[in-house]
Amino acid sequence: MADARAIEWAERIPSRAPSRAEELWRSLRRGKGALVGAGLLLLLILAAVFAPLVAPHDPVQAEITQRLRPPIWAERGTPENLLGTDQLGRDVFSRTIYGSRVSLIVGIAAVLISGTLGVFLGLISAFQGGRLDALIMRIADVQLAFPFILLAIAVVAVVGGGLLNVILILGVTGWVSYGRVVRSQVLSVKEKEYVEAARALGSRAPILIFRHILPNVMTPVIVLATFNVASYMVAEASLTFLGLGVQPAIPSWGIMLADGREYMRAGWWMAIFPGLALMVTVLSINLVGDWLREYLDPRLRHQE
Amino acid sequence: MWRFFLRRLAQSILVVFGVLLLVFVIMQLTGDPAALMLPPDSPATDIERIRIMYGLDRPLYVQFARFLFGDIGGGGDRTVRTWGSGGGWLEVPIKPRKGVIRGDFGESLRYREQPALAVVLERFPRSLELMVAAFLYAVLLSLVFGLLCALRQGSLVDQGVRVLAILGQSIPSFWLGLLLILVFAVWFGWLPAMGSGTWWHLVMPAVTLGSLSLARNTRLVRSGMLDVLGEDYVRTARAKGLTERLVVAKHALKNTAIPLVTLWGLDVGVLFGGAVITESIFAWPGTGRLVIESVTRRDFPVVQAAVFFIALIFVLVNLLVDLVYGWLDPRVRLER
Amino acid sequence: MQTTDAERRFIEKMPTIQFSRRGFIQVATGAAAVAAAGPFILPGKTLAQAQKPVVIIYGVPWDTLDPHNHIATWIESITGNMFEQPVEMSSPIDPINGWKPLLATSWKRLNPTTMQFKLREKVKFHDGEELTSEAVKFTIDRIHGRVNKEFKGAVLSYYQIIDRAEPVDKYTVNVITTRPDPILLNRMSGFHTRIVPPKYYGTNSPAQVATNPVGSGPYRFVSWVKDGDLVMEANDQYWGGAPEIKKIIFRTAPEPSVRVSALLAGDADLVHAVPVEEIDFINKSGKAYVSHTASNRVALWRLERHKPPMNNQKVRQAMNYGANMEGLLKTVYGGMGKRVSTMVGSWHFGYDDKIPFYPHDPNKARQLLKESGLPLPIQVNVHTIQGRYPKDKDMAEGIAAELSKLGKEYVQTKVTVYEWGTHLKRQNACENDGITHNSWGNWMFDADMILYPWLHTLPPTDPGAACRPAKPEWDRIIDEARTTLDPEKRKKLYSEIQKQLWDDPPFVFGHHVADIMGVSSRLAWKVRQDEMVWLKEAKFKK
Repeated sequence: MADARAIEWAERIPSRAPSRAEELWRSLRRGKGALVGAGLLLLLILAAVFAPLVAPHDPVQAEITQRLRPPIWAERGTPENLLGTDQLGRDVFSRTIYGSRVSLIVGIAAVLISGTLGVFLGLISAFQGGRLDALIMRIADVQLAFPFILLAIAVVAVVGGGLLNVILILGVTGWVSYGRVVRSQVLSVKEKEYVEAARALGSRAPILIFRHILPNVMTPVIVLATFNVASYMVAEASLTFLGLGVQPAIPSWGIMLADGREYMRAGWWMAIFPGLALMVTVLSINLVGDWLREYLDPRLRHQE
Repeated sequence: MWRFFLRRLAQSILVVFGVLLLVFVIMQLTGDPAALMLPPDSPATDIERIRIMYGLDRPLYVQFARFLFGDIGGGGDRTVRTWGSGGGWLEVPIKPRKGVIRGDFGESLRYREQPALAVVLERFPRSLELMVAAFLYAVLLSLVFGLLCALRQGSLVDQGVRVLAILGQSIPSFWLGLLLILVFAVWFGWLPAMGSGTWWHLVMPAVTLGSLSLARNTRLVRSGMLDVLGEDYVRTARAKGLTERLVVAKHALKNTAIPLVTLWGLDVGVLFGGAVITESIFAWPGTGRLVIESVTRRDFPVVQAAVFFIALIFVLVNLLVDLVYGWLDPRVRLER
Repeated sequence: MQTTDAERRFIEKMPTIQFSRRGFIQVATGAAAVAAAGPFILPGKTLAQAQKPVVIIYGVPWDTLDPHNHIATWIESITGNMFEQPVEMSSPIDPINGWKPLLATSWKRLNPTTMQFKLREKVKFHDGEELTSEAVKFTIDRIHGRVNKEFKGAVLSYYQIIDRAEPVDKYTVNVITTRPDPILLNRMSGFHTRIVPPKYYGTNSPAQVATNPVGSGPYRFVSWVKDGDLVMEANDQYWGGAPEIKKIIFRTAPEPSVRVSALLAGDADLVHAVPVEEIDFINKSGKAYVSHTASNRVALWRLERHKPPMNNQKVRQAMNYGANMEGLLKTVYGGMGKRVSTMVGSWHFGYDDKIPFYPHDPNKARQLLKESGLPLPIQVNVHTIQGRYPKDKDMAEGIAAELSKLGKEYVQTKVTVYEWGTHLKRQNACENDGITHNSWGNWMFDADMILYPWLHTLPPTDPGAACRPAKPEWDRIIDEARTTLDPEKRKKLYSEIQKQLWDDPPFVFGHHVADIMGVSSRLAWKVRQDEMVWLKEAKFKK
């Protein structure tokens, strides 16, 4: 019985490494979720980019006589405001669309900063080794031990809130996971034969990095980055809740969620729609990220 | 093994020092606490008096030295002459400091005359309660769900749990908390809306605090299990004829344990951070709320004591994790 | 490892039992937890109504229970259950005739700087010590720093004028001021005239008394967990009779919706700072109701006249014409806030009800802006905090929005939210330009108490002195009004200055902050205008 099962299992293992194209195609077909996710993300990016064309109203102009109007299908709702208005009469639909801009910017910019910083420091750390490595790793430890929220509060108390500072806070404190991942990848790859061979053949360090090490190292970084975009978007909301986030002049999902929490009964639409938008965005990013991980990882194993 | 431990210990001490330095610098940058301790229209002389009493008028490096080591040379009863708000010279005594070395973080500026570290420690058991509950909730359930999904990969349960996990990661914790209160305290009336005291008070805050960790850990357990299920030795074990489930329980779980335990160590830091928001929502009298209030009111000594304490716990927990890791996996010991 | 066929079949057939051991432990732990929690599951629902403690939830925390060492109205409110002072203000507030005897049974003015109080006899503090004129003397000495050089009253600047209290006999005391003080009775109604027992406060350190207070009030201190429960129990020896409510617990919850949830879930009896939008829901719930009023606290938006564009008088007037305070109060503030014409509260002494409110006149505003001579559009920055007072951020955003509606060519606005410490710091350093949010709780119900702190010139070294909207003319009026004992003369002076303030506004004139409290159905209680929550005024509903 068991033998048959084992054999059946063994037969499923491909006998040759499939070509890249085959792999990609097979992967995409299996990953229907990823297609949905990618589609939604595309929609989001389009909405963010073309917000002025898509949004029916100015997201910032308050109209206090129109405050707290419910969505169009409810009593007191109007076709003017499809998803209702907030406590100052601003259109929720327009704000949700414009809010995607902030979320995307925060997510992507913070990831770019922390990713670049982390990869850079991780590479240096792994290559130089010795004192510099120890120093960088200790700084990483200090950063991890320091409660992030506290750092955020303190930084905001010093330099103030605002979009730029939120991005900086998230970016500068987020480098550690990238740094560690890159460092351990480099350390393990450094000793591999092909690197030794390349070195023996006379390749200089930068070429070594770019052609042999970096491609291997980037895989977990890319996967990490995709998930971090999502978590930074959510973090922006939490920071705004604590009063540390984006200023009122710029609509963001974080501000809408934070403002909306006082109106859970009188204006539930204020927070539900940006909340849904955030959830769908995070879901899409995760679906794509999951697929990306599955797609990239097995390739890594086959590549020698 | 012994050398490994000593090395790790030395690094931990360095980290704690680094944290102290960082928090000291940051608090200095946030502005003058003396003005906040008095009513808004207080004369400058009153503010100066407070600054002298708490040693805030000294140069930064002197303040930092006093912070770490206290008054060297027995500076206990020194006073400084300053002009008083009622007119006339005043002798203002400087509050003596024993330094962090001797466990003295100074006096809280908000709770006058109370030692800062005592203020923090007073609150800590409540936070600990909450974090342990959240940790257990996240860890235990993540193991259950992760295993379940890995075993039934592709099934409805798997999809369902995966979606829930993503939801858990996409709801900001403050919203989750408020929703839970609305549903379980107001609509159903099953649980108390806020505060602490009984087991029932612990449920919603623990769920709120732990949900992010739960979501993350579930996905990691699941993917870790899936990875391991494809590994050679598992294939071999299967081929040898053991039932699938026993194989899972014995081999796969043991091997995902190591990276998972490392992650749990890091989660301690996440929980500390998340506790700030959860404690605010649920009015939980722990260190998280203390930290927020203290930064708002620029209560430097308490902020410094709290950060030190949190960092200390974090460092100790990770030291423990490293030791366990090092004991289990000899390769780690030989690493730089 | 070998397994028998039987084992294998067993395991294959019942997959869930794979986790049986862990599952069992989970269930067992759960059952044990439930059993252990059993006694706690019934939090007083089976106990008689009157015995369940009355829970009061504030939105802000407190860090001391020393009546002389704080500057916050909510701490004054909480400690007002344990401490008392010579006179008490009735509710609703009447600054002329509203003074009620509390620890003092009668008073009379002996000369312009001396007032004699006759104390209530046989009043005991919670530790048994009797309250005599010595206690009054001790209290005044304490706040001046004569008892402990290190300890001075936190708002001494308002009490400097009370120089000393001289006992005449056991129950008679003369209170002597440094100059004639028209608002002496106001000062004797709280804060630094809360009478404390000399023995206890003379022998214990400030740290000790801050956490273990002893007073003469209807409630005595039981316990206090910081950020947790503050428990008080009824003082059965209270001179006014034992209170009906036997045990009260004060808690703090920063989130407004959580406070409302606690009220509706039956976990609280009195909750503070209920959002306007929840009023209907609470009133319809059948479990609680809302009691609200305009409070002593006045919200003002200071026009920073030390920097452009607010250094121009016409611009300042334009801001008042354009801000649409009326409309904002109706909408954003839910119709709750009571407007004030300048800075003086509508029931405070000195208020002149003939001074009109600034009408909402966008055309006039635009015209003034054109006349101002400044290049248009002007940039108006609004600086505000959030979450500390009801609708603070929303009103700031509302004002900015209304000003923007004057037209892009006239006004461009930007709202910046600061956290509390930074907000104060910036004001002390005069860093703001444009409009800054402020509020002031006028706990002496007198025009002087808002005009002097906000308008009077200060020594240049004092924080914020450079950006005060001070004028010699106003200084003169304020100084004269605060040293005259003749109420008619004072009223005239305050009318004069309010007219001048209307012409040269230092603020976008605002409104009384609404005090909206949720009350559970088992309690009968009405909110006071002075933000005081004194449980002796509450009764259980029959």
